[in-house]
Amino acid sequence: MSQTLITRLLGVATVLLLLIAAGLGLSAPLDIHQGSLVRLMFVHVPTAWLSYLAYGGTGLFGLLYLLRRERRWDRLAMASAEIGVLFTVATIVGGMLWAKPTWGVYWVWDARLTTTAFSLVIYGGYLLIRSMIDDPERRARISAVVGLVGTLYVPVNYMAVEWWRGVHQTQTLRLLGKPSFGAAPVYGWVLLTATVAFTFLYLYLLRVRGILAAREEAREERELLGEFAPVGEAVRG
Amino acid sequence: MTAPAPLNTPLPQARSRKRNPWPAVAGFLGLVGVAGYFAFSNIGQNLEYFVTPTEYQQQQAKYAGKAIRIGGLVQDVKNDPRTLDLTFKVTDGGATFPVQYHGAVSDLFKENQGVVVRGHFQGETFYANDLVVKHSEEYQVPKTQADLKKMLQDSK
Repeated sequence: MSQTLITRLLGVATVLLLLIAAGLGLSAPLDIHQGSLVRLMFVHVPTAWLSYLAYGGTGLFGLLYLLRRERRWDRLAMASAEIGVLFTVATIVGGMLWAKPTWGVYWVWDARLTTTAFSLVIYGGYLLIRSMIDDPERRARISAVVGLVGTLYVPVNYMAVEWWRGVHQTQTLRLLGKPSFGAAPVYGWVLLTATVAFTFLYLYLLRVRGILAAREEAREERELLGEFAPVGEAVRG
Repeated sequence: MTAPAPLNTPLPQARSRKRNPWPAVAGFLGLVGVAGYFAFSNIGQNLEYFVTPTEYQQQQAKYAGKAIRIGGLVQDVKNDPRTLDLTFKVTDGGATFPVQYHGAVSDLFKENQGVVVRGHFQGETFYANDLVVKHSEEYQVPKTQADLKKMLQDSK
């Protein structure tokens, strides 16, 4: 019961924070060059942040599985990878909608966009590998290694705008070297709120998907046991 | 044919399955090969999306007649909104080349804006087929009443 309560509270906090972020974003003044298009940033940056968080989670939970050999870490790693793919797609779609009116095209094959697209190959492959292995322990072990290696995507994608020339803007919030924020402070507050809201969204989705995965697993095991049980048992069970 | 072992003798320790090591070795060598290719080839150069006007000037022979992307800042814009013919100069401070383009461009296209054009050189003039406008990572709200008025006028 208290577990359900935590899930609910997390969900309510997520919705509230998202509403606050949306309110702040819609009431923020417009950018002198881009006008209302700047608002796409308030969605685009947090979705990208969430995808990084999720891919990092897949690596972390995979590592925990390898250390502890407890199946729940494997379930969380899988849940995190699914969320990561979903929000990478959201990042790409949001970014394309922003790119068309500003850059003039939906897509360019510069380093940032190319590596982002490549993450769909990495984590699509991760989920594909999972679907091809039946033995749960083996599946967990192999996908933990793939998930750990895949985490390399996050720093490469983050640094792509610094390492190679491209069309995508460099970081507005500079964390390396001397930290600085190259935008109006009001945008910083909106971005901060939206990023916190999306972090809660990640935690909520991770929890719900993890619970779902645990139930799926329990059902599969029940069915597997049912095959060996006497007929009467199976009917009752 | 040997006689089956009596049932009451304990079975010998199960042999651990011998794995064929070659797929793992091949996979490892493959990874090392890919890593080496990344480290020692000029793929880092290929990941650069465009060349700067200065780089082009220094290595004209290498790029002669090839389709390339040039990136730099926009200067001296001459735009004919009726025919959509657009001429400007692209510069990085070191070298400057005139560019010709035909077609609509993003609203952010203006003087001193970053731009990436794809096309080819004919003599000193660059004929662009594609034009992508870069924008800065800095976002600012209007600071004065005049800025605000200008923004509202521009957005009409």
